[in-house]
Amino acid sequence: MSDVEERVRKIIAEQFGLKPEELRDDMTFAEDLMAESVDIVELIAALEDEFGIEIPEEEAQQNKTVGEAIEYMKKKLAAS
Amino acid sequence: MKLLIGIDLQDLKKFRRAVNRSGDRFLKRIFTEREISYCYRFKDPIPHLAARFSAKEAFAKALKPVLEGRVFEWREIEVVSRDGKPIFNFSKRVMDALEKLGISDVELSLSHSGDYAVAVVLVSKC
Repeated sequence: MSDVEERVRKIIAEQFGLKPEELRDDMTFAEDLMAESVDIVELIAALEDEFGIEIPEEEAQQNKTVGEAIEYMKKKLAAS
Repeated sequence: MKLLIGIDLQDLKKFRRAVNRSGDRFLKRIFTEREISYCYRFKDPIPHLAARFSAKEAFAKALKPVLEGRVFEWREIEVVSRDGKPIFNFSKRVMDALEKLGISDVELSLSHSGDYAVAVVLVSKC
């Protein structure tokens, strides 16, 4: 697991009160993690803080699953 | 004319936890400086912040049938108070999008009591 993946997993897990190893890539934020809009904003804010980047709302909402969010962050950081 | 409606309810305990845990980055992602300073004039800003968050959510929900996905940043949809009534103040990008969609009016109502804050948005579309 890459450093970015590990850090993203840790932040997502913390946000939803889980252990990183309990997260599966195919888990959806809306249904499996029962995320409300406040959770998503908090998660984005935490990722922005951790990696020192800006995440536009339109890009953020494309990520429906844990795996998609990890891939998005990897690409975003590789491009920055 | 067609009417579109959006409603949103926020749990104040959850919202307070988010503000306490995520602080500035969380607040500044959602709210303008003007909204933050308005809400922090109150002894407890949380119900006022949560009601404004609800307003932005309710606006997105009202527009969902005609505008798929969240295409605006939270801060582009500002809630301001005019003569004691909350109204929206939109960015130019939002105003242009609403014009293209034929939206002529957006009405907003906010309330909070006990553990919850709620917002209702009514949109008139030609």
